[in-house]
Amino acid sequence: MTDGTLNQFRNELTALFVIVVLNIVFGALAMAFGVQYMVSSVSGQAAGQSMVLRIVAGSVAMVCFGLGIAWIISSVTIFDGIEELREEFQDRKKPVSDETLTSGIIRMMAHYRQNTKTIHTMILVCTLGGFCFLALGIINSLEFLSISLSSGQFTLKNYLLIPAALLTLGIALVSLLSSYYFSKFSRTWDLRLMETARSEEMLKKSLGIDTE
Amino acid sequence: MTSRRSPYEIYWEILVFCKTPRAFTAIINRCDLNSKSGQEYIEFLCTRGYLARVSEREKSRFCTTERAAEYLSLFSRLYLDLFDSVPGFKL
Repeated sequence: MTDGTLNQFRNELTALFVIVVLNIVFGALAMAFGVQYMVSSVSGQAAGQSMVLRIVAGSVAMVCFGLGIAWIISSVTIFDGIEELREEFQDRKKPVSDETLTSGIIRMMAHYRQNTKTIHTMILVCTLGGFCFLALGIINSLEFLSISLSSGQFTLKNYLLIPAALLTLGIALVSLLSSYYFSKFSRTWDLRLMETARSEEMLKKSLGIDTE
Repeated sequence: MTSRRSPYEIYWEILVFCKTPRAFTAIINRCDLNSKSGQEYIEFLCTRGYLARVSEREKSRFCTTERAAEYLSLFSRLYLDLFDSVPGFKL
């Protein structure tokens, strides 16, 4: 039984670790892009931009910058506890005893209890960030795209825009996916916490607390 | 503020750590407790007979008794079962 549980525990730690690292990287990118779009919108560097689009893009970029900072701070908070625990269980070559595994589960549970609020913030930040970056990507793509309704033709005014637009849309996608996985992770551990609350009755009896 | 560990988890940690006789300071350091709460947890386990006070080289230490075996195995089983009863998290 321990081998299956150990593998599952290891895999869950690795999965969470990957998501958190991705979030740190994309949080930094979100911050950088937020600043870049904010500066270019305020200074009106891109030619042919309408005033309204500049104000909208600048405002969305400012929100993205703020969300990027919140994103990094939350990710690092979660990362702190996960990294140590993951390394400890990943590097073990010897068979792991039930005691060691139970101790790891307790530590993970304590980490989750301590960071439940942060994880819920991450779900919100990632969803908001995802939609903001989606909007930013679309707005900035529209600025350089002209559509002729009569002929039905699309004209791209600047090919250099494509990588930036793709990266922005990539950040949006990662952000929305992170939100989905954080929700999934949170659901799993909320259920486990509920299960432990139920098993506390049995532990109470075992300790003889009920018999008083 | 939500407590990081439940009292049952702390009891389990103390009992596992004290399988070899340990001093009070070592217990509170290892189990990340302050001396007041550490004293309360140890006192509780001693009154239940799960922890016994032993003297080693004129120093007082605490050691887990045979009675605690049932609690320790029940606790481990319940926590390991969490990964069977609840669908796991994966990418």
